[in-house]
Amino acid sequence: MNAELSSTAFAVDLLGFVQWNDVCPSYEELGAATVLLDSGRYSGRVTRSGSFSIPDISPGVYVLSVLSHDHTFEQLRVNISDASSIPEIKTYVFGTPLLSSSAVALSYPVVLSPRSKNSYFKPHESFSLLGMFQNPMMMLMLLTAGMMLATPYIMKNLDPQSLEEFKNQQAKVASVQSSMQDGDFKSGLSTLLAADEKTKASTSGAKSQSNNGGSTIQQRKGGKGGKRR
Amino acid sequence: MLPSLLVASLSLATAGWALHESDVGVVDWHTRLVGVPLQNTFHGDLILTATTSNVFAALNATDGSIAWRSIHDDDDPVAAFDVYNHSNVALLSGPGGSTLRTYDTSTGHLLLERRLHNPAHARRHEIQHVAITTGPGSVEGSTTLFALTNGDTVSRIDSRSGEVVWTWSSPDEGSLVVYSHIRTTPDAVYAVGFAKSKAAYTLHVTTLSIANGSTIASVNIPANLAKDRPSFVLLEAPTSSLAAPGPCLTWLESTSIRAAVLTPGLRGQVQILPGVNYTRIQDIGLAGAGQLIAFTQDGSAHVMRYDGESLRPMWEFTDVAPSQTHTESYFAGSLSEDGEPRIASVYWSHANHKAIHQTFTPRLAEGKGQVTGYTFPFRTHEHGVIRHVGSVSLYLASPLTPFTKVTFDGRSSHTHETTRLLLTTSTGTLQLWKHDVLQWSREEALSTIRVATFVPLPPSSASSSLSAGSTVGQGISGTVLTCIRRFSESILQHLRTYAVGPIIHEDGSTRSSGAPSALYSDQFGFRQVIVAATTEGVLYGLDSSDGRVIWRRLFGLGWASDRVGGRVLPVKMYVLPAKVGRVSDDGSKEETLKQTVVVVTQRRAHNSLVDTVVFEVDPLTGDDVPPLEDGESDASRSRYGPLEGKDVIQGPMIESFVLPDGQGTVAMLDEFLQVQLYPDTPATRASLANLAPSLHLVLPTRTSSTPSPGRGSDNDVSTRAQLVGHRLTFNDNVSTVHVAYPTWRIMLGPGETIRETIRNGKDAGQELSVGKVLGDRRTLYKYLNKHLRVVLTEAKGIGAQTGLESSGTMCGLYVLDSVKGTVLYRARLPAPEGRCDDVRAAFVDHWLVYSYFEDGTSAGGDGTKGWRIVSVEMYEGKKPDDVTRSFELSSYSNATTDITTYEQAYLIPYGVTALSTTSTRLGVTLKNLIVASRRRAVHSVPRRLLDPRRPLGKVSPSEAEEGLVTYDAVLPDDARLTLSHNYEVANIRQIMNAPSRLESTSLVLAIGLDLFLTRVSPSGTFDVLSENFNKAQLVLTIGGLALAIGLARPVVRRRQLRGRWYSA
Repeated sequence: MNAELSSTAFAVDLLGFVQWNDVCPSYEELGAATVLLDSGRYSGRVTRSGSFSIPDISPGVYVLSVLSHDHTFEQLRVNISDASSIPEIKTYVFGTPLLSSSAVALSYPVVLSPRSKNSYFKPHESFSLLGMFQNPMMMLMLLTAGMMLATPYIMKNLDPQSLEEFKNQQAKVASVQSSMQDGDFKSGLSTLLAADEKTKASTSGAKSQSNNGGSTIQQRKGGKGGKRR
Repeated sequence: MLPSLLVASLSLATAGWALHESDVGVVDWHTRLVGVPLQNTFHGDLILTATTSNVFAALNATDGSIAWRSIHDDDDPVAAFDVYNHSNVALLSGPGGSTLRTYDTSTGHLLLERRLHNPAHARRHEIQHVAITTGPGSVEGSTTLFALTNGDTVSRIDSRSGEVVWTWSSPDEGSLVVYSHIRTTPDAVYAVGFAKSKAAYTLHVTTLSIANGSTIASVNIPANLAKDRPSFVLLEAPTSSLAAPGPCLTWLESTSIRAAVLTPGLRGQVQILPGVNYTRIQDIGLAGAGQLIAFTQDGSAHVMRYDGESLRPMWEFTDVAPSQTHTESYFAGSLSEDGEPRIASVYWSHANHKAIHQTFTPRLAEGKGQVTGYTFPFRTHEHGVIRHVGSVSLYLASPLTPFTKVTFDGRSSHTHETTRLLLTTSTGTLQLWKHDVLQWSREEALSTIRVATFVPLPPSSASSSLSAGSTVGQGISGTVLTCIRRFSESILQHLRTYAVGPIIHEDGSTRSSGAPSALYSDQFGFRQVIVAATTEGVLYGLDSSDGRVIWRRLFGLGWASDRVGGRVLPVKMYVLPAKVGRVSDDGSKEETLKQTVVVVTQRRAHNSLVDTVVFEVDPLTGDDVPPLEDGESDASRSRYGPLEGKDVIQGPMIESFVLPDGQGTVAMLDEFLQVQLYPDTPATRASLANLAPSLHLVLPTRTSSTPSPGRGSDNDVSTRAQLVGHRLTFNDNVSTVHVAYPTWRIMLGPGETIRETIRNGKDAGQELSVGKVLGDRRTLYKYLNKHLRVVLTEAKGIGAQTGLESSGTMCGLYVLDSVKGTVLYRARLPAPEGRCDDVRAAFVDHWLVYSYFEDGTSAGGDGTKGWRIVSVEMYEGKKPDDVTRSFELSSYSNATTDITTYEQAYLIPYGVTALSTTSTRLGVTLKNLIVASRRRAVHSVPRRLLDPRRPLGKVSPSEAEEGLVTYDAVLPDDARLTLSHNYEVANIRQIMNAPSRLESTSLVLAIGLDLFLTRVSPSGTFDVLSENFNKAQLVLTIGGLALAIGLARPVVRRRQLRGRWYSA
């Protein structure tokens, strides 16, 4: 009732336009958009030329926002007073008090510029061989593989005493392997790589392949960890 | 600094959320609708339509797709439209036609928007009082538009600039004369309307000067038009005539047609057509060509033509009145390519069970014409009411008709093979027929869904064994065997799926009787049937995997179908478990295990009688389910014909609920608080008697039927709304059924009315976790009280007392215990524009979320305007580790009020039209909030952000361990949280959700003008392979390893052999 009376007494039309920019170059791009004051008590649609007008606004302080499906706009503060027929337009940061003193006065008619275009999708994580090898885990694996390739040659050049030590180590590994068969998976797994080393050390043909496999396991573990974060 | 950190952490959190572009249309679907058409016009290859859903749209006539649509707010109804310049359309909307908009017809671009008058000053009239027309001739692309608004104002508007050249207002401001039509000739604007007199309406014509809007003449034509349906037709002279005579005003007075040729000076005679007794005249869209249809008393229809001088009959259609053999004929007119009028007549023949279409082509030169006809196979049992079932003519005199509107496009050619016929059926379906071939059909009734439910499909045999077996209690070897068996079964199933493909029956009428069993669930339960009841009297079964219509049934009208007619408005829908009587114990006969869907409706007959009718259907096929007492199934009556309902209450229903007896008995309360049951058997009565002590109801009442208790007696109790708690009792002296009696009452404030009561979204018994472990190892126990209700209220006229500037309305929200009436939480919310429609709430378990618009006037507000979401959580006791075991606590215990609520408010940048939470099968997964916004999008808000215990300051280590993030008043507006992405999902009223068989995933269905369904995994898809799982990489690796083993084995063997030989 009050609103009706005041609107007959004094009402202002708010005019403005959408400034096309790189984010939104044309009306086709923007689609149907509506400019609202507050929750939609006053509103106007954006026409093909980009202009809009909101008629018969009674005095008060309003928040101007744009309802657009695919684009985001800044909100503005519109102050309509009894004294002047020209609305006062100020910046407004969403979530701050309405009558903030730091607001900057803007020109009238209202100029709205689209801030960003909504991107709803995330790209697919594509699988690339190069990307796979750039993974630090993968590099570590490659290094190990290189070591394994080099081991026989190092062994050849070793003196018999250290060779003996090495054999002892290998025996240890074998004992761990047998414990794994008994069901102690945890310790077994931790030495699986070493066991691999033992069997592969003697061959030379398929080393890079086995490394490839090991790294994949590592890589997948890494990926899962990242997701959980 | 902090916000940026928060955004950074969020982007991490949301990364797992967003859709891939390739998933669009795979995990979701979207049905764009325009609403049930009110007025259609062919415009080239487009159909312009204004609908009941307040949408103005252009449909492609070739395929029925939406070219564009302009959705109007509720307070901005579409009133009139007119095409001008062949490529533009002018539209008047709003109260009294307050706003003029012009659109480009091919693209839907808004060219102009102009306010003609303030909607607050609009005048309301019972009869049409808004019209728009174009002026003669256009200069350089600018056409003159003439708009009649408010029934008393005519404006001349330049279509290009929107400039109002002149405005003419009726001197009596609509108090005596209400204008309803305008026509223009090169020299004058004719405004024709009704003048009110004591007993009837008379006609009033005013002519205005085109140039300056001054009144040339204003004449009252003494006519005696019936008050209930006054009508006249303003015919234009055909352009072929040399002189430019004015329009011909034609009306029906008692039984004779009268016509008056109008001239700017309004001098002339009223012509009376003698001889024939007419009952009705109808404008068929050919007023511009000077033709109309007049119905005679003896059941025929005359085509009347105005040739510039007089009005005379040109052709006669015989037998157009409804009879035993056919229905009433519907007429539609159109201009052919060469500008010649054509008239189409359509009726349904009971004898042939086909729709018959006749086209009348006038041959003006010979003064004759010809009629050609053909039949087309319109399926009335699906798209319109049946007129004939067996030998009983059910709907013979029903005002409901199979076609409510016919639009006809005879433009294309002389042969009727290419004529197009647009039918709007009584079920809201829009069909385009080209000759006798159905080109397309739009189910616009889907925009009027009131209640809907998800019904899980039975698993197919292979997947049922997948879910049936349990590995608990088997040895390792057994487990392995089971795994192998399952693996091979699933492989087989996959092969079968690839080879045969899923069998889907879209068309309910053509399938064989065995076919419905082909509707099986997919492996993860994403495929379910959505049963949806609309206000257009149709019940749909939709496939949740792609949104297609599986079946559709019409609601039968029962006794009202005979002579009265009426509407069936669905109120509630329940999924009932399989009937016990038909289930075999060993579970081997699975096909008898059928769930049914019960729709509780209110039938409003046209004689204003209201009945409560219950319909029960098989959700998979849409077949009738005979009520239990009927015994054997009656297959012959199902499928064809409307659904047969059961009248349960001879009057309106005030509340309904399902008895918690596991049998799915629906209880309904009538006006006298008597409980009626469906099905009503001694067994269900006994079950009600058992359960009655545990049933508690909350009913809103306006008048107090019993003397009010002492408190509040100083106020005028009878005018204040109350919430009254009820229990059920049985007294065989008084009544044969259970009756509800009041136990407690809460008096609402003066002027406060109840808008909505929301039940707890889920039965508390299902909840797995009863508490929330904090970072310091203490536990907050959730307050799980299944008797809680949320009540939304609207209080008008309290502004006078509180001195609030805004229109004096406040909205209220209460959470109360329905057993005792204890209010556990309450909030007073502002009502922008004096309305509380913007307050939405969702309540599940112990979590309440509501949204409203803060207009900066509330007492505690900081003057910030904007939309807010408030998240409230209720926990037992005063502090962590306090336990009252609320989920099993007696409601009479004092401990039920011993709760702690945590709440926090958040700002959101969009208006909310519907709220809901997700739900999963076991309730382990987090519940996200699903929000439908005014941006015509559906958003998901992560639960973590809505935790009301988010710390205000720095996050302490124990809080961080809990996963809490620092409170930020602004909820992020991340586009990747928009579930509906590029889809424009308009005017969502309701969001529903259903668990799938995967614990992680919930189905979300948004219902409004559009339909939208998607899958949501609030905690990520932890129970399926992660999407970055790379099958190719895995296969390559395994292959590589196998190759390596194959290569290494001979080498190793040789070396071992050598080692044995040479080791010693």
